[in-house]
Amino acid sequence: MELAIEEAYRRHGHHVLRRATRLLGNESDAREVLQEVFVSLLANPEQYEGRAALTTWLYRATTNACLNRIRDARTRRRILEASGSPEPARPGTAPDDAAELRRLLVRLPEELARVAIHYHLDEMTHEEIASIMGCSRRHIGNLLERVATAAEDAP
Amino acid sequence: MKTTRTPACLSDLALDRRAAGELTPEEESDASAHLADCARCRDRRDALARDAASFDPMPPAYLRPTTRRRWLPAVGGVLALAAALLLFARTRPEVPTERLKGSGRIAYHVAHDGTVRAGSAADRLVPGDAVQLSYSAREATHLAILSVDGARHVSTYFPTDGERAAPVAAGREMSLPGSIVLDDVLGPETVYALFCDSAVALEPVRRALATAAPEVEGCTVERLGWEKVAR
Repeated sequence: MELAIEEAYRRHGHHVLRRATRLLGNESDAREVLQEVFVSLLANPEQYEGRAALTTWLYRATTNACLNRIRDARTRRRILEASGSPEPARPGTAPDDAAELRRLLVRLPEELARVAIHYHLDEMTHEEIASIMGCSRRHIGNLLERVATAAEDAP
Repeated sequence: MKTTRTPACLSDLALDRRAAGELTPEEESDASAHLADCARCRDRRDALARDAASFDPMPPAYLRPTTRRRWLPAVGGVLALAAALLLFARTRPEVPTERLKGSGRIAYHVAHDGTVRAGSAADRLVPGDAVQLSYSAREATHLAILSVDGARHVSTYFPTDGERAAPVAAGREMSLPGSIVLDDVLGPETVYALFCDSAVALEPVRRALATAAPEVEGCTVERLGWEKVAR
């Protein structure tokens, strides 16, 4: 399994690190996520059942690992400090940069945070988000409306 | 040419899947057609490609199996430790170590009879326990880790070839290669971590360790230890 894991790391490690860095706002935490994702895959390779592309599976695993850290109080504090003072969201608009998205993520419940990440950071279509989250496109549309409302209501 | 995001634009996921060769022929055809017409997506594709090119493709030590001469490689131990370390990730206790000087730190976890715990200074371990070493360093440095056991035998745990201190990246609690199974030599064991400015030769260090704690020019030294006792 080690060889398969090493090959997976060579081919996919870059997007795990890139997304974690953008989500957490610093490379140190992102490298811990990179390690966590691949060590988890090494320890429990059966997690990846091969039903989706490995890239898709790693997107999901990276999102989960980052959200776990964002829920951690210390990481939350670092994200808020590193992202600067919150600025009011423009009415009718969504978070338009990574720092603004990070400030929003620390306040959103998990499902909304997940859909916000996939739409605003990954620029996924509703269909892609529905596929990766295992729900309908209509539900994704509803969640995105709630994300936009939360962004407008940001303090 | 499109320069703003449209519903037809490719997501990062689609671009990453395309780069990994995971798109179906139909998806690839659609993606290629869109890229030909969308400057924004071409720019994003190129940016992701530059990011991928800057990524060090060498798998880190925690994903590579290792072998040691005196300390037995423990593949099962690696897997068990890897899983257990995830549980420690949010509640890692601070492992007390004795700091001689310098900026780096070392720590370890130990697997004993199927359970994993953070190791502590002067811990009591038994033959067969598996140990996973890690280091923390604020800046990229050169690292070597050696130990002296109860029989005053010197071993080199890192780097594997044991010739010179090896470059390592900055990071917190970065796992070193593999886990190691303790042999049956009882008594105090002291582990020395050398954080060095350069790739210092380790043979003189090993000779010095046979009689005393090392003083190595250009290196700061940190140590930790445990007592190996009979089961």
